[in-house]
Amino acid sequence: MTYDVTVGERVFSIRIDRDKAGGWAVQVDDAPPRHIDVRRPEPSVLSLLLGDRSVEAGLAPRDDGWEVDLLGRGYHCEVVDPRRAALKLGGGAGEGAIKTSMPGLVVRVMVAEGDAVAEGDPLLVLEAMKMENEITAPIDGRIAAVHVSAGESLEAGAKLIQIEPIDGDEES
Amino acid sequence: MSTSPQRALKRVLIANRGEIAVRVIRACQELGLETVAVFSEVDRDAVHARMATYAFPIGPAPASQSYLRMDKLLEVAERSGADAVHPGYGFMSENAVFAQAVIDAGLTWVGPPPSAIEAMGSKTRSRQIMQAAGVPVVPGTVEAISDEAELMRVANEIGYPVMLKAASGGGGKGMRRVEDDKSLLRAYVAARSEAAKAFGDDAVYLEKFVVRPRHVEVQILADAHGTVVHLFERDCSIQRRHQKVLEEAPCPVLPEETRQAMTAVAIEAARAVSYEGAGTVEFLYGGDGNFYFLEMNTRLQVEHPITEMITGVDLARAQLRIAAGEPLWFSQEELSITGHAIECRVYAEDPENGFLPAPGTITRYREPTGPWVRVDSGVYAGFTVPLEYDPMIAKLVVWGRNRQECIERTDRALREYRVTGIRTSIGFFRAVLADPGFLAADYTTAFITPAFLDALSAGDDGVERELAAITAAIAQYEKDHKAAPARSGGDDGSAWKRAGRWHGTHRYPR
Repeated sequence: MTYDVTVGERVFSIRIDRDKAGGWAVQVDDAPPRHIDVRRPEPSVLSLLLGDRSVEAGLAPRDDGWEVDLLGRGYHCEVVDPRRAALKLGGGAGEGAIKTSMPGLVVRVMVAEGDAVAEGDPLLVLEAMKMENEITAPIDGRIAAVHVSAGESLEAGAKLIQIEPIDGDEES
Repeated sequence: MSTSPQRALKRVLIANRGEIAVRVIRACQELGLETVAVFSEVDRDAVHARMATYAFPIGPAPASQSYLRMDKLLEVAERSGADAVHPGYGFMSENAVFAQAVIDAGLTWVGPPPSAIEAMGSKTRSRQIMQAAGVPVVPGTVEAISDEAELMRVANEIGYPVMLKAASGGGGKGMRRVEDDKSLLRAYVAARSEAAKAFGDDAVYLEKFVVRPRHVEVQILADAHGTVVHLFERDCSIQRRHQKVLEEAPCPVLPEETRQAMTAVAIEAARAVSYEGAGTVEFLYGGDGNFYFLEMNTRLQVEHPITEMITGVDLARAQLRIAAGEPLWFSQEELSITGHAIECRVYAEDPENGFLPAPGTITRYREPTGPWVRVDSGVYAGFTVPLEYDPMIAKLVVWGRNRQECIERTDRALREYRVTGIRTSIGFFRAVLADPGFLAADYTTAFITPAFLDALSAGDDGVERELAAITAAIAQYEKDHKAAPARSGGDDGSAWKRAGRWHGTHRYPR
């Protein structure tokens, strides 16, 4: 079984199988495969012995994979089974959609549909846990749609704004 | 209140939630006092509601409909038969009207007199009082500025950089550093809007930005009989968005003569408002060795445990005993600094993503322990961090014989601290503790720079990421194969099993 696991900007190709000893054989990219002993002492904990190195990892499921915590740091791991990924192609429409990663309240919306914005321009202000957070434009572009309005409460993952790039070599 | 006789307290209502409610309940229990907790609709399961002797619902999740409702708190105080109210920090703790209402209801207010809260509550007013008492203050306006031309004129008069601050503010909300005329007006509008939202008062004032400043504050205790002592200082310079995230005591760079001058001024400040109870006088300590009064917090501070660690004085217990009218049971001469202490405020937020709040459900929670490690918290595995309140979930407090030992022990404790399900600032603190500037105690309130955060996001050399990826792949495999009737017999696993061992160069077709 092989998974493509994306952590930050890194993509790891991980070949993984049970081995005879009841543990796992894991091969990352082109590195030599390693035997890993895996236990689950608590429901959301994996204890790994990589060779003789002991690693404890926390696990929380996410829509697209797992959130893994190691020594106080969280790693979002997007897991793709390449055999299934092909089926999902053409789903599209995610391009340019700005979503909120946290639930919150829309305080202000500073742009309207059709506005041209430059990277870093403030788009709207979200409030969560008593702090105002300014959401800025990730790219130079034009506002294609505004999905929210001031005063609205949002769930995590809600679409805020659709932004389309303006550049000369756009397909026409 | 200075002539009031001793009042025997029996039952204390704690008008707060989270770790500070737990902290106060502990102090009450040690003193043999019964406790009355209040909880909002999302806090029925919370630790404080379960720990207290009695617990009362006070309304919906938003603080404005529960923990900030004076009428409900007073009603619960009456119904529960409480004879005292401890406000914790935040919420009603610096609300003079509430303090007065508690007193008017015939209850003991565990805090300073309402007049002292009121005097120190407005930064503008407290500045005036301090100036009159001869306490050094930062150059700037005393009055709130409501006119843009005036704003521009004053900014140029005292010289950039300047700070815009909310007159009723705290915790960094409504605060903006401004570098030039160009960004002044925009910052002014933003600061006013934030101040209005956070404090219901959009008054904003201006002051000079002190170069290479540290935030150093002095803990004081005053009884109802005119005795005021200080319990030395804390350095709270490690901040993000002007909010403290890591504090240490004592301040590692304060010369002894400055400590003496600063603590003397703090005692003066407390006397100037006839203070009673635990309070904190905050100073800006400039790179040039000068210090200036910032504000006085008329309550227990979040970071009070590090003072407890180096002095051996339990401040929450002291508050209750002082409120009961007891004269201070130790003198200034009996107080001294022993060792060093560090506090890390563990927030439900993502330091690698602009410190965005990360509310959610904690699925695993294991606190560090071992020698000289203390955790004040109000969370547990299964707890959902509510969106409605401050994102701080716990405080890690560590003592060491000296600063170096304390840093090493704090890092050890952070390694032990396990929180799964939400992002926290635990890993961020390990990066702070490893920073050469921090290790050398050579830092200012601007310690957390964009470069520091970029380095944090860039992370390690990839080893940890690879471990995370492996963990995720194994978890995914387990999940994908859980539904299968017999385990791992089929498809691409079996060939591997038959081989019995790896061949390093073998590549598998996808």
